[in-house]
Amino acid sequence: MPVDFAAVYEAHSQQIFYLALRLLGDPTQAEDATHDVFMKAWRHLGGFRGEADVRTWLYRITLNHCSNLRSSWHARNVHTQPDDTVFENLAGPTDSPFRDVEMSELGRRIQGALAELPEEYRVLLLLVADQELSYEQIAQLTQQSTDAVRGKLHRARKAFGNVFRKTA
Amino acid sequence: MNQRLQHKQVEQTGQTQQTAGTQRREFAEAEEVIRADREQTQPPESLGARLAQSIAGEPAPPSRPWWKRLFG
Repeated sequence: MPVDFAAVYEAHSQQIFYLALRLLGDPTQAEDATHDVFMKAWRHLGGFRGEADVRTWLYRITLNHCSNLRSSWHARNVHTQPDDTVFENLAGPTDSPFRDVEMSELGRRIQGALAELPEEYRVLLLLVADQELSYEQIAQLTQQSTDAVRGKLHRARKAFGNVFRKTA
Repeated sequence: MNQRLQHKQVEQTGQTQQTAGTQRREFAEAEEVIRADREQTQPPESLGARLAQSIAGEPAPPSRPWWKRLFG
């Protein structure tokens, strides 16, 4: 691997793998997706104009790639649409759902909670967890306004807390 | 005084054992939980070598034309 591209891989592979893992829910698929994302990046390196930073560019490729994989899977296996309002209107206990969390179970619980959420919420939560991304960048990646991102994130956090509590 | 000291030592020992045994944490918000999970999740070590092998079989990516480098 050329030195410059190896540095790109070293700097961003963990974030890309994690995003793919939590969107696809399967480590083997996530590994394949991460490989394919970096291959696409390699092939289009000449067209990368530096308007976005590398991380944002890689995230865009990852979101498109995982969305394509998921939509083909959904077309074969899922025939109903989840009702977002169910998650938003759940009245959970008032104490924090993130208290006394066993670290070795964190991955399983997060995957379980994300699986219960609409895809839009799942993507927003995974992107906002990256502190290098601004709300403006998240808005560009998800093709909506920053106000819409803020509003949906508020609901996504609430929904995630409610379903995360149930995974204990 | 001695009793309070002994009690405090017992409490401290208990906390240490609990921390060492179960590694429990408290988080303030959803993204903090996800961030902690990401930090403890590494891509497979073999992935870098696999990618390098795939890239070695590819032609070099086309370099950007000089006029685009200058004028965007």
